[in-house]
Amino acid sequence: MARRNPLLAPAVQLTEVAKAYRSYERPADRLWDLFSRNSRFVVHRALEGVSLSIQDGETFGVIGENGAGKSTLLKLVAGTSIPTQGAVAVHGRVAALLELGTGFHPAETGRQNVYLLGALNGVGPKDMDNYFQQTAAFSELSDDVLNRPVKTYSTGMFMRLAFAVATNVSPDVLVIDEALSVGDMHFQKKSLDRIMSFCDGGKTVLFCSHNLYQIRALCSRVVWLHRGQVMAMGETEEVVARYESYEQKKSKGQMKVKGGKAEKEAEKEAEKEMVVPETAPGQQTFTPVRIREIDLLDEEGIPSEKFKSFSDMAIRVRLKFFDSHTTYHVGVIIYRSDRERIFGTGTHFEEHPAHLSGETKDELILSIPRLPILSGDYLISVFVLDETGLHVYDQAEYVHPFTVRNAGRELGSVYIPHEWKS
Amino acid sequence: MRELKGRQHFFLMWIQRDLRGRYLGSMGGLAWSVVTPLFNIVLYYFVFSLILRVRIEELPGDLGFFFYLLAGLIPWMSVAEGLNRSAGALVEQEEFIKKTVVPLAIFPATVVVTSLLQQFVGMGLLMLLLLVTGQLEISGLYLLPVLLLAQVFVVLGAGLTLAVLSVHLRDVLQVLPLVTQLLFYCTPIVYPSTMIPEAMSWIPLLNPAYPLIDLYHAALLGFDINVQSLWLLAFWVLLLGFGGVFLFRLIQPSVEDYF
Repeated sequence: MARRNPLLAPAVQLTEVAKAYRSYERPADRLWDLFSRNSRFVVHRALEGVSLSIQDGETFGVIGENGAGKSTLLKLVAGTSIPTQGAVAVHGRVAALLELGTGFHPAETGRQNVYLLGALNGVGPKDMDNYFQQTAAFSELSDDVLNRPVKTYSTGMFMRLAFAVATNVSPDVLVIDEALSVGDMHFQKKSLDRIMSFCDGGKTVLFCSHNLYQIRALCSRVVWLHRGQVMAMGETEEVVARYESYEQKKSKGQMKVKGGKAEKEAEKEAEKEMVVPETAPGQQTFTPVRIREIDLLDEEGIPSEKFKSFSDMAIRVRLKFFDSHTTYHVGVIIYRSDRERIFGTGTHFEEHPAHLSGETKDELILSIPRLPILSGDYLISVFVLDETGLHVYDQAEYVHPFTVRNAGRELGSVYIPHEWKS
Repeated sequence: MRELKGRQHFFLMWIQRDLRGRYLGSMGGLAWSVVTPLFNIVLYYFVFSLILRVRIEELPGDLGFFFYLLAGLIPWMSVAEGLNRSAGALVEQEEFIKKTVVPLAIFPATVVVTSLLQQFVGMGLLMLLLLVTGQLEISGLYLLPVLLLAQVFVVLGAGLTLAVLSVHLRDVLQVLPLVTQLLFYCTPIVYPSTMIPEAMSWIPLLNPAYPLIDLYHAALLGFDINVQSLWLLAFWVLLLGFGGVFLFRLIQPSVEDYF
């Protein structure tokens, strides 16, 4: 397919799109409604007045609470659903990664399923053998396995084949609905890399996720849907920040009403998801690197739990490599004792990230000169991530409680540089 | 048919999957697709020829009835299977349809196509049998392609509509086998049309299968072609073929929302 001039028309254009589902008391009412105009139904509006345009090659994020209309939006762009009002225009071939395992027939072999789904994705008879080779290679399943009925596969094997089929497409527009965490550790990373390559490869990607960390890392623009309407749209950081503060307000509001411990835990869980990828390290599966030791060092370089404001502090992370070729990044978050984030950073946030690999470095020090944290109790979390900063190899969360004492009288948790003028 | 454009390859693969599922899926596999029709043929032959002594004017004797039975029953079984299976074709593929972009018409169309396979095999065997016994009349065989085409139109039109209807109204799937059974006995398959009493001569006019089977008899056994049957068949092709596609188009957009 010839490349279009990106100035001519956006890759995806939604104009005043609305989608309403009618629910009927009896199934026959729906049928009757096709022929007459006075039927009984309840209208549920999934989307209302949504207009947006996604440029060629852009990675566009969709965020919002459950039931906000995210999936409906993706379905409309993917073409599995038709808008009730308005127009959806998509230029080029669309492929959708909405749910893994779609179209697989359990009684058929892996090979037969790949051939059929390839045909569904528009692979012609001539390219089919080539397509099968690619898919089989990506799934890392042996010929022997591929010739067995899919129903005999383990969940992991099935997921690998399903993901290989789903992503072995060369669409102009790719629609992804949180299909990231599949299979074992090794395969999770592979899947993520595949999606990254779509984003980097100049494809137009529409990406929906609850994982704001991934949204931030992948998307250039974001739309926030709220009860079927566009709440905000624009630069990722701007929209995500607004959404985060909305989420926090909401969960605090709930806490005041209920005040239970469970809610508080749930809120912390939710917050955790915002900071780090959901792909938690598999406990049993192979991971190429683990955190061996974490130390908090005082100004003399001695491990300590008590620090003074404005004295030097350092966080030392020692890693153990099982595969020394692994390249990695390290992230650190400092929390107040109520697990409110104070500050978080990572080696991949640097303007010119260092190339860290098990061959050269297995110890990293985050040095914080003149610790700008005031009196209180604090915690840290440490993450070891892959070279993209999206996949977690290992993590140590809410560990190493430490206290800080401030000799001065400033209030709060963080010292903000300032001066008084008159 | 316009919907299938560009999806021919998938259509072909889907037909292959349907055939595999039908003939290779169960333990007996291919064996059942031979045993089941054979069982029906033997049963009808036993009841209607040996016990009820139904006789065909043009083809005297038990063997004559046997050929008459086969000439009508073979296409009928394909029609009945096409109708019954295409009615459930969308309901069965609910998950597939919900999550992929694929023309809905492919699913009932596949079933109609695959149901023709056993008819081809059956008719081939019947003609071989007629040839061996020296009773093959080639004068009417030219009608066969026309009849097959008409049959596909009628079954596909009705099947498409039944498929979308049963998505909204599952009861269709319960009622349909009863309707096909009724149609079977209203069609001269296990008896000649001459046995229909005068007072009931209106029945064939309401039965789309009547002219079709009547003309199959004429084509395969060399009977005189009934002109009224030709007109009736043309009428049903227009009504069910085009009307069915029209209704399908009308109801189709609501299918995705309903699932």
